[in-house]
Amino acid sequence: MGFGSYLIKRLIIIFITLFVIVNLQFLIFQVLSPIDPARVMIPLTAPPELAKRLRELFGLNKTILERYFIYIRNLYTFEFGISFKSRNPVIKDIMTYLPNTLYLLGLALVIELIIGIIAGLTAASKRGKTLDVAIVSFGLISWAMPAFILQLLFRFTFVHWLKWFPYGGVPVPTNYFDYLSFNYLGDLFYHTVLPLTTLVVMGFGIWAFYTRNLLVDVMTQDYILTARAKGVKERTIVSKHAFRAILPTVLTFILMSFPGLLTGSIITEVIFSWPGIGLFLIQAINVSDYPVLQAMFFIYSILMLSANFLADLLYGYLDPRIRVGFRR
Amino acid sequence: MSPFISKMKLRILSRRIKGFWEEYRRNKIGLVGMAIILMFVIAGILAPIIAPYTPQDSNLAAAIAIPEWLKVFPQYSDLPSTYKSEINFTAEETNNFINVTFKDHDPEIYKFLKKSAIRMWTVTYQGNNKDPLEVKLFWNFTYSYQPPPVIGYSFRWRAINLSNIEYNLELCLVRWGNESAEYSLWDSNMGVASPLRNLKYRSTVVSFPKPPVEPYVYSNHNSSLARLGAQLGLYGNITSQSILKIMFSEKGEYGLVMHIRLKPKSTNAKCEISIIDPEFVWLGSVHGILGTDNDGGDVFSKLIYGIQVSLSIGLMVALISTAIGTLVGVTSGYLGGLIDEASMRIVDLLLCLPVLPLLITFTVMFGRQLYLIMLFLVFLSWMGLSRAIRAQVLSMREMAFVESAIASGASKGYLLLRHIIPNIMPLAFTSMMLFIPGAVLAEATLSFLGFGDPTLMTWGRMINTAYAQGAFPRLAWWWIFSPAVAIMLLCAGFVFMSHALDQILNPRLRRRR
Repeated sequence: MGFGSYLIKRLIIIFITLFVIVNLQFLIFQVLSPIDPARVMIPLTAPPELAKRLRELFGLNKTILERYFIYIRNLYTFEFGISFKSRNPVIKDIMTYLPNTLYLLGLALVIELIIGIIAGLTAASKRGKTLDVAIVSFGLISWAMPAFILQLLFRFTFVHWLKWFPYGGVPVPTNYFDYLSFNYLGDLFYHTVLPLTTLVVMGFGIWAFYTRNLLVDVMTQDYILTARAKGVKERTIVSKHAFRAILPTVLTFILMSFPGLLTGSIITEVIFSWPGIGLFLIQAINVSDYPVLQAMFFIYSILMLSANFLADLLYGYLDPRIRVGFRR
Repeated sequence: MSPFISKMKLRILSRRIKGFWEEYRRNKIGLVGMAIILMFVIAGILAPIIAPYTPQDSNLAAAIAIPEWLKVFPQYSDLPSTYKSEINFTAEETNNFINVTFKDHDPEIYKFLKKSAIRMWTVTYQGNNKDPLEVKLFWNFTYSYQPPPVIGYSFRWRAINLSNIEYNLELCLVRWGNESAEYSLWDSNMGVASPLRNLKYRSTVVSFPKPPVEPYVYSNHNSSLARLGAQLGLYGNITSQSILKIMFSEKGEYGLVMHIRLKPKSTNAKCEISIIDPEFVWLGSVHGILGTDNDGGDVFSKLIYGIQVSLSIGLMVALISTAIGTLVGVTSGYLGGLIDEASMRIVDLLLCLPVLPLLITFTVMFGRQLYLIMLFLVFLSWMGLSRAIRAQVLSMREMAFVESAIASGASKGYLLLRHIIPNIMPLAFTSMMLFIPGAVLAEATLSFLGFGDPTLMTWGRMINTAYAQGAFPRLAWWWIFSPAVAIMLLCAGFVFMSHALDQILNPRLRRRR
């Protein structure tokens, strides 16, 4: 099997999967759901004619089949409709919330990775020592511990008790020049510190754990033994020889964590009132705002599938041992 | 099963278990995990014994009362704990025509209250002049704390055999200390502007809104009620901090006084007034091991009972998910072909869905009963395991011992039971250990966001209530963090155990140590 046909096969599978997911969504939101969106949009005391008008306005009075075809056409043209709640185009709403999430989670991811990988390298080069045990235990604990416990603790301590940091939220710039002003950036940073710190503290342990375990696995290979026999320093072995070998896997993990940026860290955003995509999602679920939910789940699925796909390609490219199709 | 397990096999099994334990014992992280989980399991089973109250009990102390052991710190040392007492009046007889009697049973009252043991003080009057007169019933207690957050009283009273007489009952709180004062708690002429009588002890008159007094109105207006005349059960409480601060301004002796004032209208007046089952209570600002929540419920008891819910959610979801995951994994790995392809595509598909948002969506749409939540959790959690098991089965099919078994004519069923299943058990078991905290956490997260089962007091719901009901601004750390720490400990316990099992059962990893 050549690389081309492998690629085509993968792409076909991706499209089939996406199609099934889209149908599943339609089934969940528009067929199985016992909630009538028109009744959610208006108060219960409103006259039934209003609900009827709304249903006509949003095309909810059409037959299931008609709605199905409209839905499919719209999704594949990235036309997600209008939010029931805010009455804005869904994509516009998502675009107002997404930057906040990307800013917070992206920054957290970068810092987590730097600290995590360094900690992993340190642990691997000192394996069996106290530091190694400490890092592994911390990794396990931070992985087992739900992030919201630390976040509650931080909010309790620094917001309500010591009153060092604001309750939450993101300062809104008045104009684009604000992004360059020292005042605005300082304020933004001031609001970011708490959620960012909790995310990093809870996040880097698992990266350290992954890196350390992958490294220790690689360290049993013969070429490491050769390097040792040559008299290369242990630090150099870990950071040069072994780390290069695990880099593809680490990169794959990083790539696979990208889709999570879209659904955001719901809990973090709730606890710190961070106006990001996770908070938006919760609000949408609460009022059964189907267009928003459909759009979010659809985009998430696309991101997830493409991240999977890209990770496989990247892995194959970086690690020649498992390169599909290139051998023959 | 018994015919298949011979003595020999049993011996091998016991030796294997012993060997496993020998190895497990050396794993420190694993032992810590095991200890934590054992502690939780025992506490969960013994919950009715360990927990002093049930999760439904409320008003055990004031809302958000601090833990009792904090009294060792000087700033909390004189905070009151909840105190509830029967009031045992002693009478001060002032007049020859008045007679006060105490009874501990009364057939008429029994008919009405369905309660044989009662405490009843009866004041009977039969006089021949028209002077107004007063009887006082006293009960004294010592109060040596800071002002209580809430005080309350309850009693029933009745007035019968009335002729040509007006009467008035007033319950007062008396402070006997240096600045003695008397405060009216309740008056039988409530609603009528009652004049302030020249009371001996009243030096400060505090005017405050009448305490909420709700007479028990019995729905069955039967004949016994009619016979008992104006019988009412009364209870009231005072929660206003400013009033309580004035009332309990100093530590020392206090008393409750029931004034019974009679005003005969002619010379042949008579009456019989009874006070039944009086009780007095103040709610504490300190309570139990972990204080109280906003309803005055015992946080510690809720926490202990929460173990049952959390552990059963975790175990159920983990068992079912592991079973489904193993089944799908073995089937698709062993049979291969179309079934394999189809099931792995389904797994891929389900892995593409965002778990938490989907979970919340399901609860909003289809209901948030516990069994539904467990169902959703199972639906969203078995996929990863089935993929891992399938990979294991595939790699096992290539192994020498399996191939030699096939070569020596082993049937498919034999192969499955003897070789494949025993070899995937470690993997299934380790990941089951991880499914448990996963499910506990997912439920806690769901409840924390307010999408959990509203009828159950789970840890997540405790945090949610604390979060929503102002535990943060009031710095009620015992209320927020006790469930949070419990969740953390439980999850850590299972992850530690799973890590240890992984190291023991997965020989490939042994090299890492």
